[in-house]
Amino acid sequence: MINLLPDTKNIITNWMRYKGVVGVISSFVLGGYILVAAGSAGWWLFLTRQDESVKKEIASLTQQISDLKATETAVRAVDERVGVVNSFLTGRADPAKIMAGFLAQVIDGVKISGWSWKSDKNVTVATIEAADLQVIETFRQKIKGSKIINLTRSKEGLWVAEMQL
Amino acid sequence: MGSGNAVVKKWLWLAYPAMVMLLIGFSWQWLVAGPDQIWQKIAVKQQKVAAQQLQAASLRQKAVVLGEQDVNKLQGQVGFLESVVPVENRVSALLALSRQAAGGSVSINGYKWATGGGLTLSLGVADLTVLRDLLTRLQQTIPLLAVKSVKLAGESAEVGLEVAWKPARTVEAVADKPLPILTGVVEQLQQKLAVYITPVVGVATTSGETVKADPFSE
Repeated sequence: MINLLPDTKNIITNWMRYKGVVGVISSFVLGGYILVAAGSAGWWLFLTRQDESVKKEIASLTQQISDLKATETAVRAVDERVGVVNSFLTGRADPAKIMAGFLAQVIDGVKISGWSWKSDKNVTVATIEAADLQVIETFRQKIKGSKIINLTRSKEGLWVAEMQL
Repeated sequence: MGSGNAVVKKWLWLAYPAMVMLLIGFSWQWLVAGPDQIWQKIAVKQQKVAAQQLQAASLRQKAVVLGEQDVNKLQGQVGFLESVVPVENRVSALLALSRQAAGGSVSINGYKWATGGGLTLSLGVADLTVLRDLLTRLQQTIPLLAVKSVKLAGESAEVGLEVAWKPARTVEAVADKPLPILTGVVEQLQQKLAVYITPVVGVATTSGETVKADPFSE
């Protein structure tokens, strides 16, 4: 006769072998889990308290700064006007510097009879006179980037050149 | 019945690991994977606290800097800066300044007001060096001037001038906006502009009289 009923006794006996190991592992897992959960809860609590304390500090500092509103406005007004002055100082063209550079190139035999400059076009034109055409050419070569835009001869027999600097 | 109880008793030890698994499973579902997502909340809160601490540090520094400022000194600095670049077009200063800059070496033959608020000076200059020196002096005045054009023909010259000006912009205190760094900035400007000439208008003397040094200034 075949016994189809499970052999309960045997199964229980087999599983009983793991009872100790399962109990130890379960305890470790539970312990670790409790540690992690407690740590997380503690960290959360710590962050919450820190959050509240920083919020309070920010509110108090904001109030302090609001009380010094007049000072802050004055600081910002100074900063604004410093920017205005600096921007004007650095933005304006200096014709005296251009002229100084031009005059540093003067050679014998050349008379500078005219000079014009406009800040909006930033073009400088100088009129020079010399008896010898070669002197004018030498002068032009001395000033880098310059070019003769007009050349005439005066009644006195002088060469008159308009140079764009 | 009695045998059933014995079987249950024998399997009872499995209740402990099963409960541990259930506890972890349910709390994992609620706290980590579920809608509360405690880890994510902790991470977000940590970032928020760090950002707030930075903000508090910046505010603390700002409060210290503001506490060290002297409003009267700052207002004095604004006054100085507005004398350098006025808040309105002080065309009257052009005359006084150009006369002072011309001095004795350049003769002013005439003035012409430009429609935009500038001034054109007609001058008698001996040579380019004199004109160059005049231009240098004109660029070293308070209020600041800008030379817009120069035209020299022979011994007469025309110089177009404009005085610097810019209307005051309304500035407001903003608590959480960092303060601009001004340490030594105004002092450097004052040092740089110390040699610049200023229009001598209505100079108060020690005797209490007022001397109008430039009849063209007003």
